[in-house]
Amino acid sequence: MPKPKVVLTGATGYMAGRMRSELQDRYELTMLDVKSTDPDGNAIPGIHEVDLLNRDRDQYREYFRGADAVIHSGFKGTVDSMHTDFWKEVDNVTMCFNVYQTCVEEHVRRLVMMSSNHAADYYERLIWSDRLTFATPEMIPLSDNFYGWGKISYEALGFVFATGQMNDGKKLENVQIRIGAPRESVADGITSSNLKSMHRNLGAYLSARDQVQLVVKSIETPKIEDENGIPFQIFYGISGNTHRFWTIENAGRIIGYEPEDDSAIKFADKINEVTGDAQKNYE
Amino acid sequence: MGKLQVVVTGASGYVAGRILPVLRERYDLTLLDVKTANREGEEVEGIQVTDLLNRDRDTYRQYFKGADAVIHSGFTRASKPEDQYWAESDNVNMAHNVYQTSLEEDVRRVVVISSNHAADYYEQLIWSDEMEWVTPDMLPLSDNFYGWAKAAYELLGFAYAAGKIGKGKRLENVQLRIGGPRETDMSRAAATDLKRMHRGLGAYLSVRDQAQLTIKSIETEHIEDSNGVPFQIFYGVSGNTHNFWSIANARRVIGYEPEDNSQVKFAKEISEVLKKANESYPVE
Repeated sequence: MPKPKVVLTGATGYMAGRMRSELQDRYELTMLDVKSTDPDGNAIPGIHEVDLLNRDRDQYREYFRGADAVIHSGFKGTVDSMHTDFWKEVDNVTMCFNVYQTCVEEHVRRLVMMSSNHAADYYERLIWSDRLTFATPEMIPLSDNFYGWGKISYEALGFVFATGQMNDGKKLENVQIRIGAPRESVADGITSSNLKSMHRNLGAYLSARDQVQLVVKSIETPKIEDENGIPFQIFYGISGNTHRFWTIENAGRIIGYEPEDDSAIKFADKINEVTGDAQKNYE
Repeated sequence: MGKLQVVVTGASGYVAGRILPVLRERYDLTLLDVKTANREGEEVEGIQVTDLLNRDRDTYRQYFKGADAVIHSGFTRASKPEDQYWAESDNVNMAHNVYQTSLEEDVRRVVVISSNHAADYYEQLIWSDEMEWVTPDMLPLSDNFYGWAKAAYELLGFAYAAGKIGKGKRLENVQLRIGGPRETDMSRAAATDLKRMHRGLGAYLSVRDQAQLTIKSIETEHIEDSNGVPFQIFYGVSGNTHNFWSIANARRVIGYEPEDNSQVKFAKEISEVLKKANESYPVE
């Protein structure tokens, strides 16, 4: 059987970089971005430079034609302006619309969206003040900043496309992955004076191989319908962390996500250091 | 005490027009719209023509200065079907401009005229007997761009109410998901489609209940949710026996006491339809 054809947007970005080589092995990959170098300035071969913010979808339609799935990790913005610029987030929602609509028009079956835990980051305020213990994807998404709001808006737009109602009944299957903390530095800087911050970092951790598994299973699982038959899912993108405070139960049930990593074990040395220190002051 | 100063956007529109006489009496109003005539072509007195889609907020900031509250009922629509998403995206942008200007000009509260379409997907489940009841705290799901935009600007309202955007300054806001603001739904009721009649009766919102809901949303001192965020979503329907959207939170938070019930108001029309349905009722 030939490899599935997959389009990766934002292909030079950090998130894409954590899975690019695995995706290239597994799929016939078309890589899109507005630039051809990664965040460290290294040239990434094989990038098609195209601007998905252009409302004229004929500018990039050809890359979507014949694809089995699209992974959308393109976005606009810098970390500095991340939470404060409304118009930038409107552009990010617009870019998602362009991707969704082009997928429908070009008969792409499945779209996997790189979303973020920030779609519901308001709940963390409640969690870390002991008013809530866990957040699930069924909760009304609440955020207190524009970045999170952009995620909320494009996830909800994904549901519209999954129903097919705006496109003569043609459904675009889609999975929204709310990425947690995709980095190995989560245990750096943790101290016994702030155990909640340690809990947060360890709970949000997502290893590179778990990210790959989650994305691959989101693409390849034949059926992702919800209980009402709409092919739409929201999964939290985290490893199987003992410290987690977002549920990954639905990802396990629907696509068989079986994370290989747990931050409590991976970073055990550092954690032991911190909790040992905290124990000294334990009454 | 002087009258409260209230800005009404979309002031020449249908939903605002229903309660404009009541609002004129009660408040010192500033009326904004892109046009001065209503849908019947009649001039609406006192409208300031301004385009709230303009990203340069200095072109309308003056109207918000000193206001106690804003009722945002302005919206735009697409001139051709293929532009529908872009028009709805503009509606979200317009709501942002209103929130942001209100925040900058120290307006305390915004009442947004939203729509039941913010969560209209649930109606598919309700009318296929897979669900019975919708509440405002459910995940807002819509299957169309119009409803999507409502959900998007409602939740943008939450972000403004949470205070981080205003660096600690919270913009209090209430989202009113208007149901069926018209007297005409019963004229289409038929014994062959009782679910449709149920829908029309359950969604009904009378003029005086719309006025009460809007006024109480403006004037109720505390609208904080259980976590202290001054944000509420209320369904805008009368106290209908046939309700399938919850108004329990509106009753609790702002003391909404609807005066109308479509089952009583349209009793004669309903009984005619039900008598007809009864003729073909299966006998044991």
